[in-house]
Amino acid sequence: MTGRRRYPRYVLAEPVDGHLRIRNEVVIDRRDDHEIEARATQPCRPDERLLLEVPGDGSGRIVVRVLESRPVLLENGGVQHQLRLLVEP
Amino acid sequence: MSEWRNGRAYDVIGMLVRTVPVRLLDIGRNGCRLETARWLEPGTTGQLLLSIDGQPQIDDVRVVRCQLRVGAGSLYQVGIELLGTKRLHRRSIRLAISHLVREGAAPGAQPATEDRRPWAQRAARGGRKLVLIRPPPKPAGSEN
Repeated sequence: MTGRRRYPRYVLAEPVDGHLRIRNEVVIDRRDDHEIEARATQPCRPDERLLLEVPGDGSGRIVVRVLESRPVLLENGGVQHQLRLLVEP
Repeated sequence: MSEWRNGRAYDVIGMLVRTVPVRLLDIGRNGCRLETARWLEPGTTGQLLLSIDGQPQIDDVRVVRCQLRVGAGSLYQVGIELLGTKRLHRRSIRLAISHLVREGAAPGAQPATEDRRPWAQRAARGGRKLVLIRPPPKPAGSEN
């Protein structure tokens, strides 16, 4: 595509590994010490391990594991994803 | 679940953080191409963390495209744009690449061991070089 790249790209002699850290906002519907229910715009894979950050919460970051990710149809026709997350120690 | 303040209910908002392992395939000053085992939605923003020359580097990025890599099982090639959302700092991927591009601009160029800058000396001592060889060959008939 014309003009897509302004600068040339370079091939690497050795592979470089890294990580992509992606944050998605969720609305927390229910929470206790063992399980959290939340709504998200993106689905999650079952058994996926994630970090949940709740601003202003004394516990800071919580490691969670996805138990269930279920699409939910909204009244306006949009789709959200209902998540059930297991709080991991 | 809501928080009640001054008689009004507010949704409790959280942030789910997902860490996706990636492999860097090629890179330039404003973007790169990654390989990953997971589909990434174009438009997704996040942070890319790479170890370049043994040094952790980080930058804000945006996924431009994601394509299944034909013949490689379930591997995806992801086009990434390096976003200039933060001021350049010593841990910035953009700054690290601009240094290396400047050194490796000539075809077949290697980082000069006589270079006195710390990152070049570390590269020479460590023996692990990030060598910018040459721009990838353009396919015949490519406009880019």
